[in-house]
Amino acid sequence: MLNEKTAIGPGLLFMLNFSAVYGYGFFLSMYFAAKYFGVNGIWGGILIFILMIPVLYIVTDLGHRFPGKSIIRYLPEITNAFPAKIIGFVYLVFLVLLTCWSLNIISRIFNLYLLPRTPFQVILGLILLIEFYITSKGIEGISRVTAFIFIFCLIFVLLFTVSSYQNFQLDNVLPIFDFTLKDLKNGKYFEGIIHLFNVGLPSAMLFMVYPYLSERRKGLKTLLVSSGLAVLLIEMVIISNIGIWGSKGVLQFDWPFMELGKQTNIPVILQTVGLFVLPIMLIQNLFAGSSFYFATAQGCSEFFGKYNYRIYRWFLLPIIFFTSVWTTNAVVIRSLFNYFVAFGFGVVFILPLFLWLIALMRPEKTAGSERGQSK
Amino acid sequence: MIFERFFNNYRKMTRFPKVKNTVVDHQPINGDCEVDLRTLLGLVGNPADLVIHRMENNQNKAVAVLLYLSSLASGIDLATHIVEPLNYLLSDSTGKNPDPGQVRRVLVAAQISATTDLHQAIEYLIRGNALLFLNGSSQVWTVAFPGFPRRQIEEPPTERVVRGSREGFTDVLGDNLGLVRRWIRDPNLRVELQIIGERTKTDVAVLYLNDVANPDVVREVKKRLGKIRIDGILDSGYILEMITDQRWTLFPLVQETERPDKVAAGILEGRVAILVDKSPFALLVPVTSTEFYQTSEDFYLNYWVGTFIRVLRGIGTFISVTLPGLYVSIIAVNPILAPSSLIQILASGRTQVPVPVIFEVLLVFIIFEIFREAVIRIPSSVNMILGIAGGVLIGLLATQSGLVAGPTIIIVIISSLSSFTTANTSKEQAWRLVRYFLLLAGAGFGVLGLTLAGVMVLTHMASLKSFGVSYLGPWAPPLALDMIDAYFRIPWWLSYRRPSVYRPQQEDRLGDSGEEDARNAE
Repeated sequence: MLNEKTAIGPGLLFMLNFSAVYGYGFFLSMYFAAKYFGVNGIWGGILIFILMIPVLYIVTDLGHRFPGKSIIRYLPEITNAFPAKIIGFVYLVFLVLLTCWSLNIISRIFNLYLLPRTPFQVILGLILLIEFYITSKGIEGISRVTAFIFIFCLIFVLLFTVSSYQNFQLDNVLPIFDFTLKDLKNGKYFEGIIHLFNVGLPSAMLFMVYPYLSERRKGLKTLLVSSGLAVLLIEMVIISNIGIWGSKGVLQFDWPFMELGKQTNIPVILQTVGLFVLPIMLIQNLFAGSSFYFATAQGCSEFFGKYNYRIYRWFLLPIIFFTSVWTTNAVVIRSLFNYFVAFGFGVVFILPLFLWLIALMRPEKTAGSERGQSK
Repeated sequence: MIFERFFNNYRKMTRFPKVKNTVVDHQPINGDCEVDLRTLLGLVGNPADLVIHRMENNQNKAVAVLLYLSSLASGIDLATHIVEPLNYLLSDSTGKNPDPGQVRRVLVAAQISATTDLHQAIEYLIRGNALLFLNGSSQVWTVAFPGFPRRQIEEPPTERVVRGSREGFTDVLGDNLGLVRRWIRDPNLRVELQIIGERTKTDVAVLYLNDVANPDVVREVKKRLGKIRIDGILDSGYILEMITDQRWTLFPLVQETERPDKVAAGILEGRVAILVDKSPFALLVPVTSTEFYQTSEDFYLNYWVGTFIRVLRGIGTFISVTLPGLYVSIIAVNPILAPSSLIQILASGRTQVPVPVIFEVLLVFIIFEIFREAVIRIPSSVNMILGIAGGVLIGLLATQSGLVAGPTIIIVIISSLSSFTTANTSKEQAWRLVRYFLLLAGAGFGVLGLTLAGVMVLTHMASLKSFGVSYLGPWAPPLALDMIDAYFRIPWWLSYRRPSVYRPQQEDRLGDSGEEDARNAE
C-alpha cells in the first residue's frame, strides 16, 4: 500500500488556515471595526493583517527552531519546566475558550435567525457533536475535507462579497481618514486594535498544527497568503457594510453580515444570498472550530503526556459544551468578551513574542537532534 | 465473541469443525487404467456428466482411458483430435502397453500437460480438461478442449456509450484477458493468476503495467487477495468487499466496470485491474471519488463536449443528493431563505395535503423506489407499459386527490433521475442512501441540519483511502493538474502526464518513451 501520511502539505495548511481565520474571524469583525474606528473601520482588515504578520512569522520561526515539536513540547526548552507548565496550561485554557466562543457564535446566529423555537443548547450540542466527529479524523482528515470544500466555499464567499456592494454609498465611507487625538488618548483605538485582533486569534491553533507541515520552507508564505486572502475577504465586507449603513448604522445590528445577506440579492435570480451564505459560513466555522478542538485535544495529550488526542476529545466534550452554554447569557457575553479578546491578544500576540525573544537569546540546537514528530 | 467476528472477520467462525477437503492430498498414479479409474470414481462419485471412453489395442484389451465432463469439455473436438488418432495408433500395437512418447506425438490440442498426482488430475477434470490414463504409465495426460456454454461479447448494459467500443466483458476469464490484451499490446503488461475459493477454485487475474504501476499498490493487491479465505467466489463483488480498505463504508473504494477499454485506460494510468472468472465486472484499484464521474466516452468525444458532460454529472449528483433535503428544509423549517414568490407557489400546491412535507416526500420516494425495483423484475415486454402507465397514472391521481403536492412529485422525479448521471452504479446507490440521510436531517433542523449532515458525509469521505490514495483526491490533498482534469476533460495533446494522485512510476504519457528516464538520469 502507498505510505500513509500523517503530515499535511502546504496546500492543505493553506486551506485549513483560511477556514480558521475566515470561519472564526468573519462574524464580528465588521461590528468591531465600526464600533471602535467609525468610518476608519474600512482600514480594519489592513490593521488586522499587519498585526498577524509577526505572529505568523513567530509560528514558522519557532517551528524551524524546534522541528517536529508543538508549542507544548518546545516550551520547556525555551523556559524552565515549571513556567512551561504554567504557560502551557494557560495556552490550553485559551484554546478551550476559543473553541467555545467559535461554537457559541454560530449557534447563536442559527438560533436567532433560522431556528428561533429550537433551544440554543440543542443547536449548540448538535454543532459540537459534528465538530467532535470531524476532530476524530485527525488533522489530516480535517484539512482534507476543508480542502475539498474550499473551491465551492470560495465561489460563494466571493459571490456574497461582490453582491454585498449593491447598495453601497460612497458618502458613507468618507472621509477615509478621520482619526482624532481624543480617541487615541482615551484608548479607544487601542481597545479597537485588541478587538479587531479577534480575527487573528485562530493563529493560536497553528502553534499546535505547524509540526505536521511536511514542507516547512513554504510555511511562512503559505500562512501569509492564506491569512491575507481571508482578511482581504473580511475587509471587503467591512467596507461594504460601512458603505451601506454608515459606521453608526452598522451598530444597530447584532450580526451585520446576516442583515447584509438578507437584504442582498444575487443579481438576476433575486434570491437572497442568505440561503447560500449561511451554510457556507457554518461550514467554515465548523472547520475552524474543529481545528481548535483538535489543537486543544492534541495539546492536552502532549501536556499530560498520556493517551492520544482521541481520548481527550471525550474529556473536552462536556467542558466545551457547558462552558459554551454558560456563556449564552447576553450579559455574561458582554462582560466576558472584552476580557476574552484581551486574554487572546496576550496569548496569541504578546506571549509568542516573548517566547520568541527568549528563544533568540538561547543557543540554537541542531535540527537533526531535535527531530521527532509529535504524536 | 460475536462482535469479534464482525470486526475482525478474516477468519470465519465455524459451528462445526471443518472436514478435511477431499482433494488436498497427493496420490500417485497406479499405472493400471482400470485401477486408477476406480480410485478416481471413488473420489468424485459417479457424476452424471462424466464420459468414460476406453480405448483398446488390437487384442481388445483396454490400454487407455479418456474421461471428461461432457458439461465442460467439447466431446466432438476430443473425438476428432484425441480419440481418433489414438485408436489409429493403438490398433497397430500388439498387446504391450502404449508408449507415452508416441501417444504424446499424436495428441493435437492447444493445451496439453501431464501430472503424476491423481488429485491434481481431478482438479484438471473439474476445470473442464479431459484426462487420458495409459496403462503402464505413472502419469496422466490432461487435454484442454473447453466446451462449456459461453456468452457472446455484447455491449455492456450498464455502461452504454454513443461513441466508443461496443465490447463488454463476458463471464469467461480467458476471453476477458484477451479483450484487455487486444487493447494493450505491451510486453510489460503483467497478468498474474491466483486461485481463490476452497471449493469454487475461482481464477482471479491481476493485471498491471510493470513499469508504470506503483509497485507498492501491486504488492498490496496481491497481499490482500492472498489473505482471502472463503469457500467460494461467485462474482467479483466478493473480491471487492474483501479487499476494500474500509469495510463499513457506504462508498465504493474499488471501481467496477464492464468495459475493457476502461480497464485498459486504468492500467495505462498506472492502476491495477483485477479480473475474476465468471464475472463480467472487472475491478480497478486504487480509485478516487472523481473516477466515478468519468466515462470512456468523455475521452472519445470533443473535449469541450466531454467537459460539459462531466460538469453536468457533478451538478446532477449534487441536485440528486441535496434537492429533497433542501426542499423539505425550506418548506418545513426555513421558508425565510427562499424568495417569497417561490414559497407562494410551493405553499399553494400543498394546501390540501394532509401530512407534513417530510412524510409526503418520503412516501413518494418509497413509491418511486418500489417502482424502480419492480421494473427490473417485470418481464421486459411489459415493463415499459406498466412503468409508464403506473407512474403517470399514480402520479396524476395522487396529485388530483390532494394526497401529494405537485412540486413534491417534481422534486422526487428530478432528484431520482439526476442520480443516474453518476457514471457508476455503486456510487449512485451510495448517494441514493445519503439522500435519505440529508432529507431527514433537513426535516429536523432545516438548513442547519442539512449542512451538518452534508459536512458529516464529506468528512467521512475525506477519511477514506483506496489502497493508500485519498478518496477525495485530487482535491484533498490538492494536486493542481489533476484538479483541472477532474472538472475539465483535458485535450489529449495537453495530457502530458498520468494522474499523479495514483503515484505511477512513469508520469509522462506524451512524447517519446525514454525521455523521462533521460531526465531522471540527468
